[in-house]
Amino acid sequence: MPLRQLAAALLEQGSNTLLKLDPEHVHLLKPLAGKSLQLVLTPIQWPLVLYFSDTQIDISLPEQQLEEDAVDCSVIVALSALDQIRDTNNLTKLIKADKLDLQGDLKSCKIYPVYCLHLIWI
Amino acid sequence: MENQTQTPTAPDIENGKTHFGFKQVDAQEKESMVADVFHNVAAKYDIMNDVMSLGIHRIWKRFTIDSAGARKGQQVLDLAGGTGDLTAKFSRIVGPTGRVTLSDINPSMLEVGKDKLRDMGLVQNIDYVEANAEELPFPDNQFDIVTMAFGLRNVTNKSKALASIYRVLKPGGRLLVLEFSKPTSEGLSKIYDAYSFHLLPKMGKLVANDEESYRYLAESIRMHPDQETLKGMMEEVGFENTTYTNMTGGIVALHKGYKF
Repeated sequence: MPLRQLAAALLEQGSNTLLKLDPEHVHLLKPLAGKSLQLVLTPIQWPLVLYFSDTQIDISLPEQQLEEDAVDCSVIVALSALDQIRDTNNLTKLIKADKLDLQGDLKSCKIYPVYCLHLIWI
Repeated sequence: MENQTQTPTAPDIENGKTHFGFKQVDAQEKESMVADVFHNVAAKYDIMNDVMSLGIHRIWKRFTIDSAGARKGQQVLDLAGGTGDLTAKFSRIVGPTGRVTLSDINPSMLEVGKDKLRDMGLVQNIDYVEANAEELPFPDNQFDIVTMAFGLRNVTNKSKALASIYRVLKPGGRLLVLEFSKPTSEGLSKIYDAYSFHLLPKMGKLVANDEESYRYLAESIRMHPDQETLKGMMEEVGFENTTYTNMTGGIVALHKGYKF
């Protein structure tokens, strides 16, 4: 049994079930539709890739970090700084402290993590 | 149980005959016989997949999608794509700048897939093409990725289909074949045989009111080439760096090959 795929399926099912419980969260998805985001938590180095559509989030847990052009934006963030990236005012400070690296469309990169954390972990 | 030990390494077509499950039929007839099977099961295909595999087919398909390494903007062909499980995921991965073609020889399956994907709101980047895998109606070098999940064993001339897929792949493109295969342990093989030939047709009768189609399913799995044979067939038509990954003890295998 491919465990990584099983974990991604469970995570995806849980996230989308939570999303559908609150219509406001579905509204948050609209600006992200068609976009993809890679979130890499350091020092674990396990990438989490989110593909957004109008109605749901598809989640993949690839074995290796995807190349920069495979997704719209990659956010590499220290586990200890995860809760701080919800506030966009912290981003520059975190980048300077080497706790955050943004690759790809920077404008989107600044918006996505905030949306994602709202969508998934709140 | 005598038939269950048949060796699935025979060529697809011999003296104009081929196998349809354990039966020998005229090669020209197999296509329409397979079409009848899938026409019969189309409406209950998704629910039967979940029942038969206890939902594990979804994990096998996820593994296939992850192994494809698709990225935004790419062109993907989901061949024998049936009700569109892989197409739905690929559609979101390649995004609005990419394109996914869902192709199936069977119009009933394609129609069910089209309805399902439209109901999911997936309309922007998906094409639907009714096509025979042996004679794909696409230009050379069109696709970055071709996937075929649980479809190859139903094709009359598998080598011809693999050559046709090779033609439509771009250089650097890859084929992924997800298909039932040969269990790697004798113990599992016996349990799997008992399940396939005794329980599966009864489940087909109970859920889809169609015992015969699911008996064909079990027989067609036994007649499909094993892991090494299929790998060799892919290499014969030109695929390179060909590998396979067994899943669930070899009940299913994912073959992957590149066109360079």
